[in-house]
Amino acid sequence: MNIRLGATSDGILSVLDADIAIDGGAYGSFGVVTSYYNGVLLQAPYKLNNFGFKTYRVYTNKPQCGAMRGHGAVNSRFAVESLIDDISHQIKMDPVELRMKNFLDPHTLTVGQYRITSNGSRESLMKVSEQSDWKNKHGKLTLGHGLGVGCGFFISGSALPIIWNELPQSTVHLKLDFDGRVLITSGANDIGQGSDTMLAIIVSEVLGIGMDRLFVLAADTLLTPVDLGSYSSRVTFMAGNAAKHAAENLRREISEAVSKQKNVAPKELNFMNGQIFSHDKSLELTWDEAVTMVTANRGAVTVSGKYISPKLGGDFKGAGAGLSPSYSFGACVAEVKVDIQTGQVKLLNVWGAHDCGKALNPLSVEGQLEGSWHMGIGQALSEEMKYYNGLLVNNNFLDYKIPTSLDTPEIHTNIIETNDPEGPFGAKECGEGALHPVIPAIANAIYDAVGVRVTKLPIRAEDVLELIKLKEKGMVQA
Amino acid sequence: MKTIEKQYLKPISVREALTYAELHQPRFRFIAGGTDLLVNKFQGNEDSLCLIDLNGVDELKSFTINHDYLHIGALVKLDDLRKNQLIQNQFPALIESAHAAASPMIRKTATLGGNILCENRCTFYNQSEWWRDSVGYCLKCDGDVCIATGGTKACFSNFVSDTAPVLISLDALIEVIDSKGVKTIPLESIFTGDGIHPRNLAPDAIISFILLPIKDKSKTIFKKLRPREAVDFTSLTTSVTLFESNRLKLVIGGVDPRPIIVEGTVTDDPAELIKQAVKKCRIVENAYYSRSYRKEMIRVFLENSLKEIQHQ
Repeated sequence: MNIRLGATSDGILSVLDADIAIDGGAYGSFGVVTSYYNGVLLQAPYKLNNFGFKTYRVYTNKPQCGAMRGHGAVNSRFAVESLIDDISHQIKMDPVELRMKNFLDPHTLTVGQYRITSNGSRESLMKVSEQSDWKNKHGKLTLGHGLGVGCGFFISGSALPIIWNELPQSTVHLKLDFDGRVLITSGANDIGQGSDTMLAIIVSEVLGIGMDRLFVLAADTLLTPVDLGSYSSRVTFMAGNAAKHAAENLRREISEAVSKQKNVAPKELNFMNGQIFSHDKSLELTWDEAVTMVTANRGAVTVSGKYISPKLGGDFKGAGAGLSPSYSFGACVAEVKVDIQTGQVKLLNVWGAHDCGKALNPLSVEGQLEGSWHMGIGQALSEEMKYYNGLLVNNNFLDYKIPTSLDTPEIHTNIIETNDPEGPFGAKECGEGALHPVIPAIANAIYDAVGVRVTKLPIRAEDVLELIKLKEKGMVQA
Repeated sequence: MKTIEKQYLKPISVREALTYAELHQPRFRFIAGGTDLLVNKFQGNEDSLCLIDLNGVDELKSFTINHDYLHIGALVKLDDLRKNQLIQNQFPALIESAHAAASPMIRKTATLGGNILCENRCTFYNQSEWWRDSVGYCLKCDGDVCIATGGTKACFSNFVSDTAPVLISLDALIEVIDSKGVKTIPLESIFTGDGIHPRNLAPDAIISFILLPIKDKSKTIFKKLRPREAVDFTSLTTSVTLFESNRLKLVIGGVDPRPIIVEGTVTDDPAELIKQAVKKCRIVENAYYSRSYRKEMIRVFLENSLKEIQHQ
């Protein structure tokens, strides 16, 4: 990839031009989407008034590739954040300060008319720079020891389906039976990220009942409604919104039944702690009493909820690429030690912060963030697909180098909460976006440590050593 | 068609093991921890029909001192070396090297004897059956060309044991038992330098004990090059021992089909010793790191080891 980034001498980013080719293997797979993501997802988190990109996907004699965490935008983010680091050195401005100057504001449009709603970029960067003692450490450590920073952003669910259709992006059905149990059915796949729990948390919150009354049946094509799937960090936002909509519909059904029998206006009713009560508490019902009222002479109550993205984006060609109802933001600082004799990089610390809107399940958010950073560390320092005549050489977990626990540094996790106007209870994605900043943070830390700029991933010891030698010889890096 | 019967035998003495071996030759293998052998079996590089499991042979699990030598049973687990006080005090580098091997779980299964005999490795050999079939079999698996070099004469699979370089630099001997009897030989004498048949031991030979001289006081510096801090096999191992007599022994693994040994004294020019060592290593593009990087790291590792050992 060839990326040019222009800035004024006072550190205002003014132009970004990217030219990117992808070696995509022998089949199309996700090729089109990956190709446009690596370009369009560069138009934030910084204000850019001039922006352009060209992209190519080349068919080669290799297995086809698909989306991995942070789909398409991860490598180009590494390039842009490295360039920003470079600019900050050239104009002698702190890279944190430079980024702070250029962040997009909340509730604004990007140059390509992405609708930015909540935006925790500043809070994220401030948090990691404070926690890492950035001011006292960056540029001030001994040779071979460095600190680097990176930022990023990601879509919180693709606003447009890949296969054009009129279906809602997510649908959730709820069935309330006379025994007070609520069955949640959803097509969203829980692939370990905890989406089943997320659905239950949302329904529980709306109906004011405990999780013991909720049962989730997910991803069974015989029994559950259509959901577009667990990809593009969309499930909490979209299936979550559908669950919220369904629960609100159920709540309305119950309110109307109670209102008819007890002569209280539906909007007077509160659902909390397994009880339904009026504002003045003149009416207090248990959940079971209310359920009896709504199911009497009727049987089980079945409702549906859906989520459909609003119409977004400009009306120019390519405007649909990368549209999302909301975007997540984040920042990382990495601390490394580089052995100048061997080029080996030892990662000492990663401080990360990610704006996920409202964290509905903080423990699971923390897991997603740490998972993202760990995966990014691997991508930065060791993970690589090696080929021999089109055959994958390292097709096992001995030779494909995922960092072990010994290679994983202390990770300092910060959940930055903003309140997204459109997410369910203000929530946004946290599954992929956190990964983007960690790779450039590591590369920039290496620059801080030994003054060499690595432009290839993974950052191999032998490449670092080669660059260190070139630098010692006073040769300009190509 | 006759079904081929596979057999698993578990003797309780060396004598019984040798009897089984005689009955089932030539298609048998002794197995101890199995952490190397079974992976090779799974990948189709090991096709013996009979496994003779030595884990029941308790006589090979002890530590004893005899005639100025510490006798370490070949079946001692890598993880158990650290529990021996004498090794802790006198040979900490051996523990370090044992702990540089594999992962905690594997070290609780893998044995010291097995680690010494760990099969040579190469990017193009340690692959699944279908992978090797589609690329074309290499010299080490009955093919007619070395894929790493394009040559047809020599196999350059790497000697990758983590503990053997340290043992060799400490002048370790091994006790070998086979049908012809018992002999005690220097550990380094079993390595042939041929990647296809890296050791000259008879098929029915069992290493019973590893003998470390305890009278000759020494210091050893161990280093291993690998991308991750656990699990990975070596791309370069160095073990440098300085004896009280001022004798130096440099042993290098991971860069040749056999351990490379250079001997000298503290009065020798370190640069000259290193030059000799580098010259002996036949490195090719067949490991995680490139040939040129591994070559350069030999110098860096040895230089640093020689410095560290004299300032310790």
